[in-house]
Amino acid sequence: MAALDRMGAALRKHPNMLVHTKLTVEDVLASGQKIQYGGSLDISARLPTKLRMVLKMGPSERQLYYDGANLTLYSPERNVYATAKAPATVREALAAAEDEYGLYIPLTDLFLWGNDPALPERITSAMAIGKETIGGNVCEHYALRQPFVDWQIWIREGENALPCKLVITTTSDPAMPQVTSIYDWQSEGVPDEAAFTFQPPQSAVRIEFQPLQSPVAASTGK
Amino acid sequence: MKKFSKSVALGASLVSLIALTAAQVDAQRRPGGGPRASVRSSAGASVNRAGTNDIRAGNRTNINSGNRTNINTGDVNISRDVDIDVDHGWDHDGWGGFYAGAVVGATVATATAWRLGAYYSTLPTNCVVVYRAGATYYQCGTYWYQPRYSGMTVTYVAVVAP
Repeated sequence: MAALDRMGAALRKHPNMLVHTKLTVEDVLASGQKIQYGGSLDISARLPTKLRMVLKMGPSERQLYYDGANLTLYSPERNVYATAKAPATVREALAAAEDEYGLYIPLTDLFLWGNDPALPERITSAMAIGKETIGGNVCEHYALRQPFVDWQIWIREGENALPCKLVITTTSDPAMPQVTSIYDWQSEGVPDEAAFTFQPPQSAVRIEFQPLQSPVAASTGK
Repeated sequence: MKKFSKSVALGASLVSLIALTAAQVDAQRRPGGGPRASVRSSAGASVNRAGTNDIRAGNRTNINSGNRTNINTGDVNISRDVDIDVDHGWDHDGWGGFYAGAVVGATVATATAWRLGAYYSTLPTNCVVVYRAGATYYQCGTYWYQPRYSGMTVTYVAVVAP
């Protein structure tokens, strides 16, 4: 648990962050069959008010922009985007996006660790596995359990205790799908502030987010 | 085929199993189902049936978000349409859903498929973008659709002409 605290502190020491993530995601079909996808997620942030993410999976790409006032989701392959007003910090904006529009943005834990005292309380067991080298860094491997989720995290040795790798196993599904992310932290190159505000490309079509809690407003046509 | 014993069925190759009709597979389905029985039923009985490739909820890409509320609450008020596969991603805690939606069960909107309030993952080919009263629509012949993000997934809702 001290290791998690160290990691939280290291993450919070980097309000300006740029990290390239290799992502593997598993879906479970209704039959129980698992389908695995690979992709990448690039995260840049100037916390607490700016965030940009680019997710690529197969033929699809999503870009997320948050500039402290508005949150935009853009789909380059269809050239459509939606923008909604958002709360004043990344943490609140991500929570609101999830609650209001069902936008489950991956790896938001990166913004919560070291920020939310409730997180360690959910952990029911933790053990240290050993050392492993990931992307040229020696990382300590830990395995943790909490309700609905088993997770494993690899944390860089030493003072700069950034996460090297994260595996999340959803134990509430009998097929136990896993999401794996491997992090490549960049020490420079964080975009400047203006780059976090979405500029719609020419001919991009603006659409809306479907609110989660309202019934489908199909009959209104307006 | 009628006398096809259970043990033979379980040992048969996937290819021959696909040739079974849905009724035969149903008749042979083992109550409770083992792993092999599950493979067989999805290959034989379900291969052409809409909805079987639906992604079930549960996959999460975060440890600590998504369970601030129940992971499955997101879709309680959404009317799922069993004929339409496009709603992958509704109850899906992650970004895999939008990709899967394109691959596993893309549903193309056509004139015959148009039904008010239904969701589609792709449009017919003859559509134009129309802006009305601050909203965006696609007009495809006499049919109208409103594009939306359902979670991370772009969907098109069949609507009456604005």
